[in-house]
Amino acid sequence: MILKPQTLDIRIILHFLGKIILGFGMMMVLPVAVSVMFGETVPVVDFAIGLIASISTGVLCILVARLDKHPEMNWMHGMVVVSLGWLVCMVLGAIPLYLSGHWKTFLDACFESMSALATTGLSLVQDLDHLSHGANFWRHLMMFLGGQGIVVVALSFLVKGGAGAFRMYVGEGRDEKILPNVAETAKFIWLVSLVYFVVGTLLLALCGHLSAGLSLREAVFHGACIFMAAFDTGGFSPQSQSIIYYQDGLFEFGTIIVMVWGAINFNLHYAIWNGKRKELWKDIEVRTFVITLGLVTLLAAAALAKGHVYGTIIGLVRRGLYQIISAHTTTGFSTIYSPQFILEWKSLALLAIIVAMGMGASICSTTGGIKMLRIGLIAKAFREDVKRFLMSDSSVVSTKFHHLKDMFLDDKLVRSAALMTIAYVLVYLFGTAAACFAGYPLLESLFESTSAAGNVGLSCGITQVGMPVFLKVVYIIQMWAGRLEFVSVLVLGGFIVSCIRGK
Amino acid sequence: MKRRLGFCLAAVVIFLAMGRLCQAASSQELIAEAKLFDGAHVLYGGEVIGEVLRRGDHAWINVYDGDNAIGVWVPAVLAEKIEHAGSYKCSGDRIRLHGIFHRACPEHGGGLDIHAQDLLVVEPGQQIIEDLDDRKILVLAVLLGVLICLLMVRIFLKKRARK
Repeated sequence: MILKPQTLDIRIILHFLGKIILGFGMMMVLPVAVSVMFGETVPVVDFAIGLIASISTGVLCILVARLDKHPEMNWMHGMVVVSLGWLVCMVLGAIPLYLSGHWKTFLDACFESMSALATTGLSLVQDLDHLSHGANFWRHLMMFLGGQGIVVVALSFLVKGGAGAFRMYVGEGRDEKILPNVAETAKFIWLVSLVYFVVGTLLLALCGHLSAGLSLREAVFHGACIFMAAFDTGGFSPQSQSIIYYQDGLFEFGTIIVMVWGAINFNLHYAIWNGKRKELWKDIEVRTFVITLGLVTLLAAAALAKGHVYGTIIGLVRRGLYQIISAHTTTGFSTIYSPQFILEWKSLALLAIIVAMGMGASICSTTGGIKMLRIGLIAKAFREDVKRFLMSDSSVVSTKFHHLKDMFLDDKLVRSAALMTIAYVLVYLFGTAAACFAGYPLLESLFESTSAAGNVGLSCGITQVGMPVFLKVVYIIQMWAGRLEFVSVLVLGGFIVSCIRGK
Repeated sequence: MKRRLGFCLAAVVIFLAMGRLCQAASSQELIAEAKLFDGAHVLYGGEVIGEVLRRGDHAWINVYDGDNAIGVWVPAVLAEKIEHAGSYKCSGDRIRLHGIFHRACPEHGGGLDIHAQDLLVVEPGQQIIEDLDDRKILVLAVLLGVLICLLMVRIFLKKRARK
């Protein structure tokens, strides 16, 4: 028998939902400041509307909940708050975008908003090159917020740490705490991110000004936006041509460094901060990433070289390897035009980039996709099974791996990794089937679907303003579910069913 | 004034003559038929967007024709002609250029680009005046009213709970 949620459950959910919305809404002060700095008037009004709408919604949720005592949150509450919070933030974040007039419909603005929050990078913006600095900054800031986690924002400032906070933290697709207290973990994530933000912005601004030829003011703005999009493996860019706009090898190299740095597990960042640099080379995730990156690069390079797609080694690196790294870190920056994937890349190279997008990078980072830890564990389990067949029946085979500490591989870990891998593959196929149904060819459909669900953002040309509405909705769901790693989305589904059919 | 007009007429005549030798192409055609156009002289036009990115005796400009923006490598002397680049506050100069198209330029790391040989500003860009919709101010005022009411209710409820 399904139990109907009680009023108290709904009030607890509304209370924390309100806090998340408040935390998210307050962030709209930043694009207002950017608009003022660049002397833009209309965007200030657009963001003021978004800001007040968000704060009003947050306050309304908290008022309706009206909890007298500090509420105790269970797993169901945490998961529902997170999955619902992401949807509400998508809608609220889309308000100033839609008001700017650069998105044809409100659904397109919601698509952009979810793509930013989920650090995907697929875009439905029109005439991006004339978008205000304020709105452009907001697109990138949403990536930064979504990458670190909207819940992390709320946890840092508005929610006290505890078991309930940890449940929301897990619901946002992170299952590893860096510090014993989850609020301290959230604060550490912000500290690291802000320090990297300052250093990364300065370095990219220097590259942009001295090497690419941007004016100093634009170099700083582009540096900040590109850093947020690269470190959070999001992939938006301030201009419509993505990284092609800068026409500069050094700037591209700078983005590669930031993308790879952003693809590393936050626990490893913590270890590096504490002087344990050796952890970086010992960890199973980093090792798996290096191996898989080498393999997909080899495949793509072989295919591109055989087809004489780029005549020089530098061309192969700047147009071929760049796309592979961008795909594997699930960033989505591009140094080639979207249709070139299908028109010029050979099937094998396309396969390599789809596999790279599907695999993703580290757990507890801002990347999407299946993730390296799971791939590494499954590979180790395969090796263990083969070993078992080769040795005598009486021998005991055990496999060790290093992920933050030395661990033994057990069936429970492998089962959980395999289940999540299957879930991702099914979601990739679901999006592929939807695009095929809309009339797109199989390879393009697989490419775009993997890019959406893996939160990558590379496009082969399907994601356009004119694409079918149902496909836009499918991609929004894929981006949302892929970023939250399914569990909280499934719990929200269960919660809705229990509200309707429960007794 | 007469000299200026004469110069413009001469430039237009030269461009028309080149048009017979070069093939006019849109960005979509250049990207979709890149192999066909590779190494060919092309005529391409559109709005200059972003900034003029100066690199010594040359510069990069990005020219948007309504579908895509394509990078154009121009001698610095030609880049001097561009006074406005498109942004939020400004529409960029609309230009028409003639140059060699590269599908994967060996000089510029395999990028798709055009090396311009000549460039003409067809329509100068201008400042865009911001237009604030009155309805937005109305919505803002209503929302502000709603927020103030909600905050007052919250303060009232907190006071009552304390009592």
